[in-house]
Amino acid sequence: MNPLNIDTTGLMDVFAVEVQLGLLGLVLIAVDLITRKGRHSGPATMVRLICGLGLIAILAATWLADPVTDSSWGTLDSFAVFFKRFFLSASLLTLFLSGPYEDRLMAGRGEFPALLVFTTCGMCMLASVTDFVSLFVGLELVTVILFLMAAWRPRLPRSLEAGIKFVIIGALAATFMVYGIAFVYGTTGSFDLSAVAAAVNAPGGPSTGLKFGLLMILVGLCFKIGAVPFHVWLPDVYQGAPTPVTAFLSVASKSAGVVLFMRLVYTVLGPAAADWVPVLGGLAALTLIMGGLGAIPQTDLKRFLAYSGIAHAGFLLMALATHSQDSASAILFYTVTYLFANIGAFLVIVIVSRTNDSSHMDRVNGLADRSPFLAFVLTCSLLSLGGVPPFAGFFAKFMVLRAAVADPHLIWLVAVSLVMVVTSLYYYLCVIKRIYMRNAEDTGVLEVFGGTKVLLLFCALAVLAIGIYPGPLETVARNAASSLFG
Amino acid sequence: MAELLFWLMGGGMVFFTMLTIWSRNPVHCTVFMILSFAATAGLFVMLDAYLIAAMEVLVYAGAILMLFLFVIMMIELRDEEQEGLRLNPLMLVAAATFLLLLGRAVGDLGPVVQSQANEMIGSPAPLAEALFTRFVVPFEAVSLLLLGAILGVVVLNQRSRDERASIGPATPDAGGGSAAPGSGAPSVPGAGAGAGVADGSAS
Repeated sequence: MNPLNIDTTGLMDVFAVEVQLGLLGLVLIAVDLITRKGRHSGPATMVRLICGLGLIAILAATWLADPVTDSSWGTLDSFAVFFKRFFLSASLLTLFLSGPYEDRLMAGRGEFPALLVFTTCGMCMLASVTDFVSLFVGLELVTVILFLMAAWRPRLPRSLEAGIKFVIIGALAATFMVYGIAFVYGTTGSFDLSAVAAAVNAPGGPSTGLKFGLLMILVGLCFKIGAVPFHVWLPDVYQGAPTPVTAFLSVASKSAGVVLFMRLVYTVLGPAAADWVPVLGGLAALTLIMGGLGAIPQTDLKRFLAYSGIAHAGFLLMALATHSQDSASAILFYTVTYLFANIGAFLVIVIVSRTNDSSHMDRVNGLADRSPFLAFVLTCSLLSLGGVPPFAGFFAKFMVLRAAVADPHLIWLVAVSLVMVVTSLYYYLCVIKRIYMRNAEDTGVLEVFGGTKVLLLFCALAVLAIGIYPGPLETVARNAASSLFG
Repeated sequence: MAELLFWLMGGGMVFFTMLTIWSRNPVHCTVFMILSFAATAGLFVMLDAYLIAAMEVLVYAGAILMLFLFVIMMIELRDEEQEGLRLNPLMLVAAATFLLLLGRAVGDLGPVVQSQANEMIGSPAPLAEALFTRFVVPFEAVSLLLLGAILGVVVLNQRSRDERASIGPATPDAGGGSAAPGSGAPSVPGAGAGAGVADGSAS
């Protein structure tokens, strides 16, 4: 059975989710082929239904699997499981989100869920990797497919532009990453994260070559999460990509960077992370300031959310710089609150941009008159993103700040972030003012249909519920983070 | 002798890469890039990595850059689009910072680790064994990546063909005429990137 004489113990346990996702993707392609009539496909209801059910089944199956931490193939600690569930949920929400958007896609309706599943597979793989080869391949699986999804409406010049910019920036980020991996391999002789961690924390400290390699890898990841000065692509790509793809990029793709960042900072750098505080803290401060100030003049909702996403990346970097178990659980908490707030906001954008396919901020003017329900959901999402109590975003920011205050070296960063939180409140409130105080351009009542309504309500209620009663999610985040510090 | 060859190959690689960046004519860029890849292949030969050297020539110089040439021929760049690199002070600062960091990194590589089994990487068998044992997970991930990339590229291209059909051949200069080659272009680098990644990790 096994002529290559290799120990496959744990292989199928660690990567069970990925195998299932890969198979689901293949099934979706086949179903699309069978059910499609002619070249201009109608709504791909069947494919979407199977995709949704498959994702739910895979998500449910993650509760049945046992943790695996002693396999040489990868790890399935509670941290990896947390992020796998997160990516699966994000994928599922994006699938629902793309429902009302589907009629704007000229073609590729049936292929869209398959690609979504493939890129989710890459993300889940990233949660489990313990070596740099899988890390790089997983990251490319995620990005290459996202390039294509960003250009999914090539008839629109802005979607095409988004795709091309994303390809170029993605290639640049991958170059930094490979360059760094080469240096890490050259100085340690191993791709394994644990071996590299041992070399980093060896007596006498790491060599400059190894530090340089790790720095380049972090630069590659900074592109991924949109940290300044590697953020320039974000607003253009977010604006141009189809809105469901933008939502997926802002939530899942960013979290894929976050999961690798956390693995590298918390487990590879380990105690040596103290030397990296100036680098991470400086990046965090720049990112917070750039995201906060850049959002103010924006007039496009998706661009605005891109800058808001940059500011949130700053918060995540601040938590990474803190390097404590509290900060790790704060990041996990933060990503979940960001997921619900962002999906809610993007779903509203999909609906308000239905008539003329524009995401200009004028589209939300007077939204409260056109649809009080949509106005309520968008307000909840924006207030949560802004960090206003009692919404979930408040607790997320509070946890990050609480962890950062504990580190006396980071007081300056906490001060910067507090100033930027107040600034960001200004521009979130500007949008909310448009919703309630301006007169709408077209006064037609916006109808929201059954499933979409449920999803919107779910996002808004999740944001409220986590904000009012954060205990359970905090416990989950704390448990997941604890496995990083084993 | 070996040292001289190393500097010749390494220097040639850097030189031709710089020419690739500086040239104004995309065809010249591609040709310089092929030369740069040839020099890289030479470096691999000097490291006894014959298989990777052969792949570098066959896959990159042979297949991928030929595709680049085809694309350049198909999209027929106008003169004003053939812009060379314009220098910007920030680029110089970024390059200087990077070179400074790189210089310090190369200056202190630490206890240099001797590569294990250097004589083995030249032949396909150990590589294949590594691919199907230790690195089977990334290998399978690459297969998903390629499948997804193919699927996406087919969709993007199919759409532009539909547009061309719906607009008709009579209006080559209208939006459809310029959009069709435009939408063909990004899909090819997309495929190239996918294939490039696959080969990079496979070799």
